[in-house]
Amino acid sequence: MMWLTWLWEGLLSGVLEVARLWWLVLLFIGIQFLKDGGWLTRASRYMAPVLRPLRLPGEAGLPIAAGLGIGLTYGAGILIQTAREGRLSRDELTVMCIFLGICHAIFEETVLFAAVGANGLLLLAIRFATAAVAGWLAARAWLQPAAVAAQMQSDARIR
Amino acid sequence: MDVAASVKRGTRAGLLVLWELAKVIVPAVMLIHVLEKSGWLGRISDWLEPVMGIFGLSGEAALALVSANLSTIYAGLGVAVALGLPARETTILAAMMMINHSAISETALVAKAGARAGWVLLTRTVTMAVVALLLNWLLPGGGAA
Repeated sequence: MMWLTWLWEGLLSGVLEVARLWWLVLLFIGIQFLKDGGWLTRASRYMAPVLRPLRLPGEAGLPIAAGLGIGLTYGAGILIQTAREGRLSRDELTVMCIFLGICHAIFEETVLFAAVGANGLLLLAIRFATAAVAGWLAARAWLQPAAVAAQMQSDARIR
Repeated sequence: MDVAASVKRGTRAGLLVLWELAKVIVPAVMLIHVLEKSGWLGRISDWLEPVMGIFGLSGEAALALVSANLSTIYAGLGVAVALGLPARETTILAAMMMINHSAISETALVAKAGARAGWVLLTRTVTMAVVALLLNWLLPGGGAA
């Protein structure tokens, strides 16, 4: 009988915990506005400071913006579409996914964790910094600098 | 841009996430409550203390980490909520869960996109451990562990 009491108490406090998060609905309305207002396409044009250190071409701007803003699961459509169109090489995709794997859905996940009592801004800063370092290292491991890559492409064309 | 349609879709997305959270938070809170009352939470915590202590976490935090990686970040969050850890531990745990979560589904996704999924997963896991160590070292209030 003690077990049943404990389960019932747990159920009540569980429902209360969820109810305390009601304002998340407001956050998602905000994110929806960002998506519907064409902000993603606009943001993708300003991704150059992120792309350059990662040695990624401009085509990676949209999936990076989508991953950062909406997240891997919801941004997956854009990610997979970019990959299928073949505009990014396997190496470029790997570097992009290392960066995005560590740092994505920066609005939703930061707010969620702040809601349960973690230091949201500190978390976001750490996440972005580690993603930048890991991505930077991965870019050095797999990708040529833009100038060399362009040179190699033109060499290949001559041959 | 159709404002009414955006509000509607946003509300639906928000309610869906709340529902997803409810599905994991309610059972997690119930389970942790029962574990706590029956004394098992303390025992599990004691077993895992030596490992989690490296990161400045108490043993029961491992439950959240495992949920986040096997299931989704929501599951991990649900367990973290249920455990009600102090702010310092919550921040370290949250950083670990944010960097590495949904290891199975997101790795499958990355593989589907055509990237080297193994490397992506390895990088995330190593980063998670490094960040947790750094946080435990840098955040004030540690040292006891």
